[in-house]
Amino acid sequence: MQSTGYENGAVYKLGCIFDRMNTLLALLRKELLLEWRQKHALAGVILYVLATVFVCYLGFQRLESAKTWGVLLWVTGVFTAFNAMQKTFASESAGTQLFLYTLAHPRFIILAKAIYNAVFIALLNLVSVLFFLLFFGTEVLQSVDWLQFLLGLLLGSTGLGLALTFVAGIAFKSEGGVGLVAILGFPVIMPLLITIVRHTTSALEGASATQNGLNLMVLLVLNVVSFVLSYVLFPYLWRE
Amino acid sequence: MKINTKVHFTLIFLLMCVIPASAQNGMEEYFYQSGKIKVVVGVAAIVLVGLLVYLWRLDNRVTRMEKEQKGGKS
Amino acid sequence: MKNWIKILCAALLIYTAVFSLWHPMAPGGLSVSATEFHPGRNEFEFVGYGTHFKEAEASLKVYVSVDSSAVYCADILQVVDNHRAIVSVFLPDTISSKRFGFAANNDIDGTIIVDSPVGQEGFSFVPGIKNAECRYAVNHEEFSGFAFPYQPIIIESIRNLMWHVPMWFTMFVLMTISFVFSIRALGKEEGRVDLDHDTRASSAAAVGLVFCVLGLITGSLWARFTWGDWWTNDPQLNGAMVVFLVYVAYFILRSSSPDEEKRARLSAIFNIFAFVLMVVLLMVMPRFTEGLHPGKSGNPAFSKYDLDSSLRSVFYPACAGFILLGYWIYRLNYRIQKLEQHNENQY
Repeated sequence: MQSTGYENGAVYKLGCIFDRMNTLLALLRKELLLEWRQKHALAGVILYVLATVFVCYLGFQRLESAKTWGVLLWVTGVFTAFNAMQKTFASESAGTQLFLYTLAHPRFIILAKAIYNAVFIALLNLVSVLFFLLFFGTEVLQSVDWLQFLLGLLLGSTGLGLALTFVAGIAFKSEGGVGLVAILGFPVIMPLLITIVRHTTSALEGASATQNGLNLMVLLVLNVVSFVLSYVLFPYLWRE
Repeated sequence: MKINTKVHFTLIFLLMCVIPASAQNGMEEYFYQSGKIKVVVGVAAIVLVGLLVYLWRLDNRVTRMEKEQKGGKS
Repeated sequence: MKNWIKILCAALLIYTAVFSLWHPMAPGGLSVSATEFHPGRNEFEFVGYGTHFKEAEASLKVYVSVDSSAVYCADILQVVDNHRAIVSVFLPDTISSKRFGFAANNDIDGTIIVDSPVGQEGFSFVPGIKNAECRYAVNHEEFSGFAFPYQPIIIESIRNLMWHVPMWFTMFVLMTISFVFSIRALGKEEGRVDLDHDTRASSAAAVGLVFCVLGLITGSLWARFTWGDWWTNDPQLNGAMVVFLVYVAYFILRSSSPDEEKRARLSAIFNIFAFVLMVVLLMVMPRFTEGLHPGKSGNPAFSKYDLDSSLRSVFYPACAGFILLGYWIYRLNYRIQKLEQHNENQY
């Protein structure tokens, strides 16, 4: 395929910030439009969340402790994230890929997809929190630090989104498909999972900001690391 | 295969020495103090030497194959 | 690989095998037979490990300390054999605490300590605290001899240090080799993927994975005999398991791409991810958390053990030997793969 100015970065570097932001926003809009046009996929994911919470409710009826609340929330959250990844790259056929590649530097594409997925998963997790509140109530959540909890939820979701977007990129390039996203993805998100579950359960049990602050820092660092790695490595992935 | 047989027989011989003797000792007789540690040292050394000799011979075979290939190409 | 390096590797490994088992253990306090102590005469049996009570019977002294505030001398009733001594101690009526520490001293073994044996709160024998009735006075403080240090609970299994830890060091070295070659395989953005470098990366990762499994198995076995469980909820153990899963995923990814160049590119990218993950899981995260496995809050290695020079004398050769062994097997793996690829290309 023909090499454009974006490949060697010359035009890209000369472009001003406004230009870059425009590209990014345009790509984000494209993702949103695609999602909106296929509303059934969105409905499917939300239904999945509802079904999971409902099954938990049928099994548990009442939760014993805030810890169970937090753990169940993230079990649902992880599988929701994997579900949401299914369509990320699947909608890109070979023709669309080439077209996009001529329009924008691959970094923008991955950035747009990653941001979109991160926000999407964060919203989905908020929805699942609402469902949890609906079914299980706040009877075990006496002393919750809501700010901490929401902050952790946000950072955890964005971390999941960033890491999984990149893994999905790798998986869809090979012939492995959706199954490979799970195989590659689970080990990759492990440190994130460990930290986020620890943070959420301690925030729900009412730990102070200083006690939990370290967890939050680690989450932030993991987010940054995932982002930097994706940013650096994605152009290699999309070289075809 | 010749080397493998030797290793097997030595191991079996050593094991046979240990089994009747251990019936007499109580819990206080630790391997080290009773001098039986020599058996463990011997076993470990033999296993290691066997593995290393295998690696060495494999290395020589691979080197020979590489030389053949390089000779065949040029 | 040069022949002398292979011979060096063999020599180091045989040295490790022989001396990790041959060196003696330093004496230490194993247990104390009594579970309760009351005011008045208390008789109990002091059991040591690797001690020489009978040989240095004349110089044997036993002390009991209470609450780190008082030390009482015990009278030796009978020295049964080299490991056991039956003693009795008179505790005054003011004793109400349950925190006891015990120490024995003789000219050969030095001071050996049994800490908090009665299952109460952790308490250490603190020598040197003077008491009107009994003065803690010893001739030799330490065992003078070349021996591995005695650690309670671990005792002889400290010899496993020379086998379990080098597995992880070797895995780390091999994964670093794999990481470096993955980066070099990717090269610049415009260039092609270097297939030879990718082959090196995958063969190094394969051997590293074997050492990871060996490390997990040896660690699990060690845990069973010291902590009582095959697996505990420790960040380093869990992290090691995740590292194992990540590199297995790496090989699954490799097997799922039939096209050579695509496979090389994808696996090189994933290898970079996997290596960063390994560094985060094994070196960064354990520093922030607590757990049974040594090496937390500061140093992900072990700090209490490697201070002893007797351990170091076998441990460093063991690490060097295993790293050389890992490198040797990786080179063999890579050369065999190259030969197979060459044969495939011919037919």
